[in-house]
Amino acid sequence: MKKIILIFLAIFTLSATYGCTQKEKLFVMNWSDYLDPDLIDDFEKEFNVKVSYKQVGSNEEMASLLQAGNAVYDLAFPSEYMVDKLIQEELIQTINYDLIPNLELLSVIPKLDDLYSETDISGYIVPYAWGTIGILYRTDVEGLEELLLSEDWDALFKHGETYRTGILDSPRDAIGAALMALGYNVNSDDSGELAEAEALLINANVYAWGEDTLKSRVIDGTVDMALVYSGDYFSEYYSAIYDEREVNFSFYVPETTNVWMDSIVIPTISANYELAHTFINFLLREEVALQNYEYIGYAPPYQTFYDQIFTQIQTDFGPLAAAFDPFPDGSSREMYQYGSSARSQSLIDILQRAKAGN
Amino acid sequence: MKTRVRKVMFAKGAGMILTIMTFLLLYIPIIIILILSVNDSTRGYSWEGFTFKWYVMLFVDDTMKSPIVNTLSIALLSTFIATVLGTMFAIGIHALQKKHRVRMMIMNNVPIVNPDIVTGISLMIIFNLVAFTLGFQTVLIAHIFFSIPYVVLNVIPKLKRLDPNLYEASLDLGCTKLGGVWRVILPNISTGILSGALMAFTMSIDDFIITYFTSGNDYMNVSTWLYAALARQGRNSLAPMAYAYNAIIFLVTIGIILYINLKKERKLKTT
Amino acid sequence: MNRLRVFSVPYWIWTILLIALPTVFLVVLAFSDYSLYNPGNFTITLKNFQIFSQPYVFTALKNSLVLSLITSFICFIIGYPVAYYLSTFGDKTRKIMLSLLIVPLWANMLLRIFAWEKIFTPNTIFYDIFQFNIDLLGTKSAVVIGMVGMYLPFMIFPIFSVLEKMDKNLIEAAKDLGATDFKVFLKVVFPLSVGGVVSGVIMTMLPSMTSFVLPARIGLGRINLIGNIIESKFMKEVMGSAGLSINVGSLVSLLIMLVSVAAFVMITKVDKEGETLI
Repeated sequence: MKKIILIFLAIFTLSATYGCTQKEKLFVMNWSDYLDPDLIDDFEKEFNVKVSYKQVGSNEEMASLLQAGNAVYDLAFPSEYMVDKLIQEELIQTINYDLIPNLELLSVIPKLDDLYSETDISGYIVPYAWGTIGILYRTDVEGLEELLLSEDWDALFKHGETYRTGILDSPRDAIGAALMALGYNVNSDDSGELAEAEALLINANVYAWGEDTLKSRVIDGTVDMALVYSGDYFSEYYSAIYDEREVNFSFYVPETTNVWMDSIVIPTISANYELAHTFINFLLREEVALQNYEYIGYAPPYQTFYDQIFTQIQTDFGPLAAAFDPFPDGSSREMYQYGSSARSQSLIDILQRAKAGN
Repeated sequence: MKTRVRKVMFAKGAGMILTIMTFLLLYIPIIIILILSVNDSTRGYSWEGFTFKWYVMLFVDDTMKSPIVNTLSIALLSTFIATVLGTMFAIGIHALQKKHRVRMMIMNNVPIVNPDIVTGISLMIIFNLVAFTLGFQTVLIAHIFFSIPYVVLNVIPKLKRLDPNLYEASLDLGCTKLGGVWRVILPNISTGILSGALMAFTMSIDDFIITYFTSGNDYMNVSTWLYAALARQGRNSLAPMAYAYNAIIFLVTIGIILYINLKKERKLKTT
Repeated sequence: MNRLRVFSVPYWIWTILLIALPTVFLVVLAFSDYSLYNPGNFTITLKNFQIFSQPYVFTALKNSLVLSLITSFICFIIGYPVAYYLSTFGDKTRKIMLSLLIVPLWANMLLRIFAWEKIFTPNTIFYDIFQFNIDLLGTKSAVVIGMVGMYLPFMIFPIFSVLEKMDKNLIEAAKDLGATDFKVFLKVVFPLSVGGVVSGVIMTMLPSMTSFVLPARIGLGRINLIGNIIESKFMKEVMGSAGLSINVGSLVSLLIMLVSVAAFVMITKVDKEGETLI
């Protein structure tokens, strides 16, 4: 009896003292699989700090956690429309660009810069990645490829009876895609247009809803095609090569689609302002950045990195590399804006109704 | 007579079939996990070949180290604290008048009956209001919170079967109040304490929902880590290490159970 | 023994702090627009009840009730005979069988759910091993089967524990009085085991009604139970609803809590000892 108690006490004290390091700590909140973990290790070793890496599945979750304000986050990676809202809510702070010398050496791709120069978010962000949403589909499904080429968005929304489809469980993306399929503006606040989008989603007979799981569902055959983010295709491709699996899937970019940009921001609640900047600076180092962008599969927003990565993509993907360019010349791209709180709430409700209406 | 035998055989046959079905339902997922743990593929879509690399990685790679250590330390710590506190509380409750005892037992059982998600949310709310930063401490408190009722529930029946005169006798013979507890009460309820501790440990080691809501920015136990890792299986996904971890736990538990059962048998034989 | 009463005082404080107090806050949140993350002025309102007018909440409630009822029922149909069958074994075998039933519960819940996904998806590793396909992912049947696979032991244990404690002499007596086996079961065994059955039903129904990971993954996001709604309100809709989703979520949680406690009170009425929950 006494022995057991002694053992317990030993474990007690051991575990109580475990994890008490003297190093500085950095708290990062990012999407799952959106940063090469080896680089985090490298950063920890080089600067002798500890990085705590929390992964979330959506912008909404990221925002909910920031709003909760009960935990420290030094860095976050929201999408552009959420940055807007975060600034309004005073949840993120301005960045001191003097502490990020590596940024001086880089220039943002002009097309992307144009899209965002009009907005007020520039003082708060360091661009991280950009891309589009599109349709990941299986090439071994009869007639699917032809359908996509001929019907564009409608292939996803109007053929739920014949094919199994998947749509992102994200109010912006699901309803945005529906609005684009109907030819409306992605930020439309017109109740008639939104009602049409809702009807389109309900009647689409969607087979699967998911956040990051959709790409796996296409690969394992649960769905035939799904709405995904552009980088998902490239990372799935590399994963298949790594696992030595047959690549029986491809990516279709619709005529008109959304272009999004994820940026690094520093929440107001950050406890280590300078270290946060050091981390950003680290990520913008050339070897680090190239390794990172190769890992995540998304397009870098900086011209030099983009060109180098793109060359690699062209070698690996041949003609399919065209899908890597989020904003080819002459294409039509729309960008999300946050809009009003009322609109946000109605988007949430529309998606919930669409999911239940199936 | 014949129809009776046939009826019994039918009943036994049905029982056997359903039991086999039960074991299938419970163990097929386990078998799949075991097979995935030796599958040479990051995603597990199909069989790609036999390998032990995930087991090796478990010891070599750092990614899962932190969640595993967290899970085990919280489980051990919370079980220990909950067992001590729970036993103490059970003794206290048992000594109360019937009316108060019933009231306390109802309160005691609320965390057990409440769905995990409601418990998790209530705790999250209260931690927020008290301005606790979510992390290791809040997870520990939460685990202790839901473990204590199980300990109490296991100890109380044993207390009921204990002869109250024994304690009084020990006091008469010169024991202090606490000494009497230590020497008389505890040894007699030890099986209850042990089974309560075991239950608390089981609840804690596998907990997902409550940890999910109370862990905040830093703390990850195996379940919350898995939730994030499985949600988005990226390139070079390391989730298969989790299968290896699970396989090890599974084999260890089966080993322990077999050992306990065989040991008891030997004990019985020698007495 | 009565002097040891004092040991219970700290527990009383503990339960008030961590059970009673949060419940009070849940009520406050549910019946007002108090912002959890930006505490300030608030007004008492019944606005949050509007959520019940949304058809998707109604569907979720319906799904939760129906699917958990079916799950409990199936668990009962399988579980009772199994518990009975196991109770006919000798002491040693019994213990081993029971332990074998507990062991799968030690496997991580998420991994088991993930394994069930693989089982229900055609042409995956399940096919490689067993050479046949089950294409049920996304269906309510799959969710029910998954839940049965998760919660069946919780039905078996209480029933088994009650059957085990049953006085064999009663059965003997009934047989001596001329009852057939079937009558013995119907009039003696089953009525005495009702406490265990009720316990088992509640221990399978409540978790299945409120689970959210399982239906989200096996149901492919199409089948939403009340647990999914609550999770979404607390974790995903906070920003979009200007914090009000927490109040709505609290209301729904309160409802679930009331149902659970009501079920629990029912157990205490049926079982006076307070022991069947183990």
